[in-house]
Amino acid sequence: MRLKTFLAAYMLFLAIIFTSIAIVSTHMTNSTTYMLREKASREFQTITTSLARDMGNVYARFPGGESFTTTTSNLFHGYVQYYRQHGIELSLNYSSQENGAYAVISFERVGDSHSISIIGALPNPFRQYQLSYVLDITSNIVDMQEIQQYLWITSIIVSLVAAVLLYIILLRIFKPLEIVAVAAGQITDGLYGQQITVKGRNELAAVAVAFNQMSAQIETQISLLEEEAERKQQFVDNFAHEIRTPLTSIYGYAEYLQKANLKEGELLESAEFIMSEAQHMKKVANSLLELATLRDYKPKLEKIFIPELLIEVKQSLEKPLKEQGAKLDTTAMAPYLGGQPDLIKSLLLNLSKNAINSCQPGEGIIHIRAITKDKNVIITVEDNGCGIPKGKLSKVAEPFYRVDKARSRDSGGVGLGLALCKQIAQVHGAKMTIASTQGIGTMVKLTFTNP
Amino acid sequence: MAHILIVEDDKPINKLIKKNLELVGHTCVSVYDGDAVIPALESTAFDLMLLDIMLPNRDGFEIIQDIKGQIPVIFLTARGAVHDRVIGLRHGADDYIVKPFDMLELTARIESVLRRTQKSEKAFKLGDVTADLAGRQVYYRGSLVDFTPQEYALIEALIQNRNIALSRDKLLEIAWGYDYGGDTRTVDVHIHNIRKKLRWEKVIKTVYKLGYRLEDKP
Repeated sequence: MRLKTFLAAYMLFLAIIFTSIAIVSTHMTNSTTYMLREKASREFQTITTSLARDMGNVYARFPGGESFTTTTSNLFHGYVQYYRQHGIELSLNYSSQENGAYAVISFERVGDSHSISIIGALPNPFRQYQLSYVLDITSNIVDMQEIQQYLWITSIIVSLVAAVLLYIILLRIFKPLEIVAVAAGQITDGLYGQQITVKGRNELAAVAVAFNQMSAQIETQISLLEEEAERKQQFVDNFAHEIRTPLTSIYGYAEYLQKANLKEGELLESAEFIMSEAQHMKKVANSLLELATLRDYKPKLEKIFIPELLIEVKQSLEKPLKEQGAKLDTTAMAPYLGGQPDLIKSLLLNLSKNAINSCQPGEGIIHIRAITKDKNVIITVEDNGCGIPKGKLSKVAEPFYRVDKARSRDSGGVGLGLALCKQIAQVHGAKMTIASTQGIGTMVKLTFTNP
Repeated sequence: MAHILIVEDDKPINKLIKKNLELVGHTCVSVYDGDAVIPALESTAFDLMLLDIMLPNRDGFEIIQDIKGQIPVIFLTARGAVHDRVIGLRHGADDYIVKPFDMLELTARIESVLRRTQKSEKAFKLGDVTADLAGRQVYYRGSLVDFTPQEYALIEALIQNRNIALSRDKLLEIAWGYDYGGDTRTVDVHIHNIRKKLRWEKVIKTVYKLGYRLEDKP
């Protein structure tokens, strides 16, 4: 591309410069020739006129005869002497016939010397006399040729300089493109997010801006994809773990039943482990199914009367509240909420159970509030429990993620509760955010933007 | 036999491993939390540690870095990814068992690590029979009894997995190798010979439809 541009531009330059030189030198030759010719014919005219006048004077003194011829010859000799100094050779011929009125001009060239010769008759009454005029123009021609030569040499030098300059300019012009090419190559090699700087406001700078936008976009997209892939991988890993753990117990105890010499009570105990672990797997399977179904679920929105909903939630929680010795307060400052009643209820129950479980026995205070703010309905579930460590806050809603593994498993959780809550919120077009301070408590906030 | 620390947060699995290992003669201590490992190691000397990777408070990778090769470690985990195994072994684990595992795999791997660290059982005594497991010799009332290599392999497997039933197929594999095409009745014949030579008619029990089990506890 650069070489092509260089060659094209340079060819154009050469064509223009040498065509103009050719035109100039042709014109120079023509004008020089014309000028010399004009000069020669004017001189010829002057010489013939003055010679004829002189000869007329001689003829007046010696009309015809020997003395006229001699005197004329002397007279002409003076002319020849005079004009020879100016590089002009003159000769006079006499013929008995009368010559034509027109002079003949011709350029002649012998070896390196150039000349203009004019042959023509003198004016009347000396028509029989023919003057031959030869002007040596070698020096004029040589001068002209020297100038032309100088022109050609100069133009060749100019062309060479121009070639170098053109190359440097092209190098500068194409540099941004090269930068773009290098950056694009780096992107191809997986170094996303390359940014380039091109100064100025020309088309190349516009290309650079577009390139930078593209590069940034690619980086964002790729990192999104990577995050997504990582999340999926994490899910698969967790899922494998979640399935393998109960499976290990089930297989292990079954094998124990088959192979060990059982002591009293061991049969019952092993069978119980097998059943409870199978039960756990069933829970995992159900929750996963629920999660998968919810993903594409479009709930039929019904008008839910919030104060009633909160009373129902409180009633359902009576047993766990009692077991943990916790208190639950509800404040309903918003009248209605559009949603699928069972899902919304299970969402609140889930969040409340998490809240109850996070509290120290006998100390828990849970508060569910529903308020209206900027046409949004906001429901918060707040507790004074152990809180969530800062680094883990972003992960709590991921499937199978547990903040406190041991406690969660003991209380029969499968690690999908918050993932389900998040999904329920999502299908209702609501946002779920969690704020927590370790040791002080946690607040889950649900913002329903189209209640 | 060996004194083994079991670090596994899932209580049923922890208990299961403990029961199994105690059957074959090891003594075990169970720990359920990552933070409890170091105190347990400081209080008693263990020959081996079974270590789960995903644990509350401290994960298995952190723990193995802390103990710096004090005792042999076998990782026990539900994460089967090759990447995790490599990390585990690179951290200095002696072996790696992926859940779910079977009992024999567990005892065999423990046995192989113990043998490498010279902590395996060297002798076994039951009634009139003494087995020198290091010298591969078996005595009845003090006098050496002759066994074919297959018979000896069967005795060794039964002792190492005592109180656990071994299937005929498994015994065939142990004594004759994995690709042996023989009949499982060969096992019956050899077991019959062993019982006769050592008067072990009541010690080696026939487990209905499965195989045999050596019982050292009445």
